[in-house]
Amino acid sequence: MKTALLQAIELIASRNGQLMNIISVTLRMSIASSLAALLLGVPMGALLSRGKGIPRKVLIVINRTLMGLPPVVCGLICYILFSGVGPLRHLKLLFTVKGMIIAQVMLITPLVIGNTETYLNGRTDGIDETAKGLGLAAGRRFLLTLNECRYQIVSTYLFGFSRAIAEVGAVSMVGGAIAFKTNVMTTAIMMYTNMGNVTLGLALGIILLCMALVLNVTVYILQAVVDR
Amino acid sequence: MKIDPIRKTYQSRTVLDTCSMEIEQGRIYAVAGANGSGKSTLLRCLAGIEKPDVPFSVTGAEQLSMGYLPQSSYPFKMSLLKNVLVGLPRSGENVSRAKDLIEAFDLGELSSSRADRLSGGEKQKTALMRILMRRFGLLLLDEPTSAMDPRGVLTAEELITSHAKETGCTVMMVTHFMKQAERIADEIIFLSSGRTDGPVELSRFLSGQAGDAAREYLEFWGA
Ligand SMILES: Nc1ncnc2c1ncn2[C@@H]1O[C@H](COP(=O)(O)OP(=O)(O)O)[C@@H](O)[C@H]1O
Ligand SMILES: [Mg+2]
Repeated sequence: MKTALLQAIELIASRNGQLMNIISVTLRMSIASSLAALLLGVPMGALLSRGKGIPRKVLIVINRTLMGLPPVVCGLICYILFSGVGPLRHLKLLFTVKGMIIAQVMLITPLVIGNTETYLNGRTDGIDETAKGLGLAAGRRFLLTLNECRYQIVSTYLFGFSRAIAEVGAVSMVGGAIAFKTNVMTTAIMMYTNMGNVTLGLALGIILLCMALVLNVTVYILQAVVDR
Repeated sequence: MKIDPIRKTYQSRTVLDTCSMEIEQGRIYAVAGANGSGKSTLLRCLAGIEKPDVPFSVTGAEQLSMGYLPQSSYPFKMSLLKNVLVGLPRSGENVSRAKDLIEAFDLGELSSSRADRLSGGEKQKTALMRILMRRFGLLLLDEPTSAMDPRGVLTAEELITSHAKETGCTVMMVTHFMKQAERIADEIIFLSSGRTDGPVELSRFLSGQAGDAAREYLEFWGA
């Protein structure tokens, strides 16, 4: 543990090229996928929360099922879609960061939809009736709804980001953990550990945890600002 | 203007079944009746929030714009002042009108506080000010003063009547208090189990000339 800690510090201090690349790919992938999932999921969750009747129930159950989609299954689906025989092969997404982002968006969006829907469930009516009563247009009503759940949106984003940065199954299948290209923290930890370099794996794990800590502190402050 | 009959059924229970009502532009109508008599449902159907069993129409008033203040106030997560101004351009005129309203309720000190953290009565005052910032042809207010202190109630009534005068809008206001109805309303729409005979002059109603159900109601709620 001590050697791992020292090695982690050393790795960062030396600005090891491979490490820097891993960190940058990890951040790029996690930020892009969680943002995309947020942009897709929040409006869908808001729509779902104001839906009615059987279609709404069906969609909620489907979404809940997708929330439990095992990452490797998602990775496999993307692999099949992007591979040389898949329908999306011409997009050349296999073993690219873009491909990994798409897989992550597939995993995270249902979570964002579910979180948003749960929070807004039972609240949309109050917001909507009040806003309609004031004669506000649909666009303004939607913005007001977003404003009502801004604190939750930040938490949901963090949730999605944590999921993305910690995920390994889907990204290793779609990305292939290619050094200097698609290797991220989690896949690198797996790789080094499998190669017998447990200390390096642990060092990377410590760096990953530190990144998560920094992010959480940032978001905590952001939430306090948003909640003023 | 004339409002067609409105009927609303939940499952198999009919909670509202009104006759066609003649409404005069610019007047203030009190809407009264026991709990569950359909007052909120009437306002919600008129405001288009609730879908009545069959669509109804309002004739005699072209392009009637309706404002509706729900029974439970919903303050948005923003300051009191921003709530009052929500959706309006921040023009000097609007801002000064908002500030006047806030001063009328003596809430100046709270105008930059988050409205969703105010007390129940303060939230209700905020909601009322927010709707009084706008012009409508028909203003529907569902128990707008139920949580206010006595002084707030009187201020609210003054604001409502002066708003009606200035904008020429018709007001329908649900209330349980005949004293309040006497202070501000011209006519009263009395609901009993979802039914009504339409608006009656307040004096006629209060002197017990509006049917048995109304007389019974007055026994408990009058004065
Ligand atoms: N969504 C609903 N589903 C079933 N019943 C309802 C619903 N909304 C209102 N009701 C019933 O309709 C009746 C009239 O309600 P309401 O108009 O709110 O009464 P009030 O005159 O007290 O405002 C009540 O008995 C209420 O239980
Ligand atoms: Mg009511």
